[in-house]
Amino acid sequence: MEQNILNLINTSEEKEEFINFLEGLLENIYKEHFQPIAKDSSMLVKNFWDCLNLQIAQRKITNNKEEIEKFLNSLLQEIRKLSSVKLTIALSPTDELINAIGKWAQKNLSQKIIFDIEVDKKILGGAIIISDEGRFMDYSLRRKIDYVFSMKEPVLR
Amino acid sequence: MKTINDYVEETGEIGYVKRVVNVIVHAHGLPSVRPGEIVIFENGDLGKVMSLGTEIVEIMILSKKSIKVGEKVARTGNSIEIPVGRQLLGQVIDPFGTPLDNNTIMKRPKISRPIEVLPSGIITRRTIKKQLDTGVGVVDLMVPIGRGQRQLVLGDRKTGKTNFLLQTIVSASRAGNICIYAAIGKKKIDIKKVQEYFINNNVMGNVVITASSPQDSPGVIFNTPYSAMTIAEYFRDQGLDTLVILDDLSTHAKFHRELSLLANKFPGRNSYPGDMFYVHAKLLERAGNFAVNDKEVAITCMPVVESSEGDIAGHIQTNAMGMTDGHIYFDSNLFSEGRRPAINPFLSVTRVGKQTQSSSKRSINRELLSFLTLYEKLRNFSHFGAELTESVRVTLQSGEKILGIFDQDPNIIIPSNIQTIFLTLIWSGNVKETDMKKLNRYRERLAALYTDNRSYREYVDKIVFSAKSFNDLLSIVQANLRQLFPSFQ
Repeated sequence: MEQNILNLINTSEEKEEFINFLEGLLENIYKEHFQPIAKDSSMLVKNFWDCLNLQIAQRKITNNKEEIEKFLNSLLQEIRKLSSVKLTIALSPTDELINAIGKWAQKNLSQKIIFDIEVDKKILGGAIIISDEGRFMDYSLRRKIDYVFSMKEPVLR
Repeated sequence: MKTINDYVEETGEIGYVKRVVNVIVHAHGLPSVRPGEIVIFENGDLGKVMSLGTEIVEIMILSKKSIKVGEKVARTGNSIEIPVGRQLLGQVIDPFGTPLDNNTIMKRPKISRPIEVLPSGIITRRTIKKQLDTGVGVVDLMVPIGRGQRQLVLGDRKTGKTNFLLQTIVSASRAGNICIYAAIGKKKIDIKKVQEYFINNNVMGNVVITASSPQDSPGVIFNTPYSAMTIAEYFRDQGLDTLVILDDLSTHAKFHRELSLLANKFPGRNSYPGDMFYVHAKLLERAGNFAVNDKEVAITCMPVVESSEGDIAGHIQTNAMGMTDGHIYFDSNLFSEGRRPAINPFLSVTRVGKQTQSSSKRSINRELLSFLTLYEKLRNFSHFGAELTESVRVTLQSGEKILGIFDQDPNIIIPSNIQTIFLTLIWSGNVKETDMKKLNRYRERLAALYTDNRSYREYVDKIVFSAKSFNDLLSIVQANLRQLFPSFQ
């Protein structure tokens, strides 16, 4: 159920945005006339809000603020627990690329993973992956070229 | 030199600094890091892994520079190592083997050893049989120290502990021992004075000083004694007897307490952490008498612990007593009475030293102790102002004379056999001279003769060695007065 909401999150910026939004909701949940969505809210937050409403309606807790609070708290915890992977790539990624990587990770690693994406043109191509627990994998083009040159160094001399 | 990126690629692991508390850093990541491993930060500084949590790695910084939150940290796969070799002799180095004197050019030894190793097991250990001459009469006769013994030096500040240790180093160096002096968190001026003392006594060639000053990072100060012990172990494995002086363990304990409190470890007695005993015991356990290539080689260790206002029942003091083979107590009351060295023989203990003494010296030890006990009793009694009998007066005079000959200038080294025959001479009642200064000057000339004249030295050694008991020695000395005690012009 919450999986649909979690699927909306792909990057660590989105994670932070959702956490801030949820914390704002929880602070103001008992206030009357509270408008969670402002005019300048991003499309992503609007989608998230729609998804939340849908979940609340499905659970039939629309009029029970205590139950809504419980639901939002559990969702907040779930989002905070999401594993993240730092990804350094050479080009600015498109949303489609991020979605594709996210789907691939979920399918192959059997868990929801979000990406902290950094763009570094110096790596030329490929990617450097740093897992949440600190594993470092360098699949960059720069490393491969360096490796080739180091192997060919005696020949080049 | 490798950078952090090289280490990251090599180990395939990276971490990020999450929290910095003074010299303790909490990092996230580094999944396979080991406790004790050296890690490198983004700015090139090194740290040592203290402990591992479920999600964080606790690291002690080994430099004074500050580390920022968010900095990268990588494993190096190494533990702290120090270069060891004969090149270290005569040098003043920091705990990582770098000379502290910028003007010195030292050829860096090729061999390195980790500074924290497991102590050798029981199979390699041998019974302590040889005595280590300290050159201080009261110690060599009443609280003897064996080669391989761990003897605590305990006392209030400014009671002459360091002077005694320096005398011991000079005496041991002249006897062929390699001496390692670990100055733990000592002021640079004090380290310089110690170095000058060794240079003036021509023993610096047999001495290594590992030093850290209060300006150093607590991590560096904490590692100083371990580094000294590693150097000692290297020379032991080369077949050389070594003497390690740890000056002092109470400072070391204070820095360990500081690190533990910063690391949020639960404080125990006097706010020291629960592993305080373990930290010192695993260090002192590395000393002893070992079998190395069918030869017995000793690491004698003399840790120093400072007491406060004569309280020897403090936490660190009793801990150290519990893990050593005895202690020499420097009494501030004796110091204020003018006794030098201010060693209290009644409160000092040696658990294995007596077994290293010859039978005559052991007999002297017993006689002296019972006599001085009687002297102390009578001296206290005489304070009441009662009229003293002739025998009491004689005992008090003899006691003062004997304590007088134990008075020794910090720059004077008296070989234990000279001290033995000189004491026998005084005990025999042949000396009518009452001026202690004259007597001690004569003893110093005897000591110089003993050091310089080989035939005289062999003669004295033979006499002391051949005597079976104190009475035996008394009669031999009586019969050879002229040869043993020449008159100097």
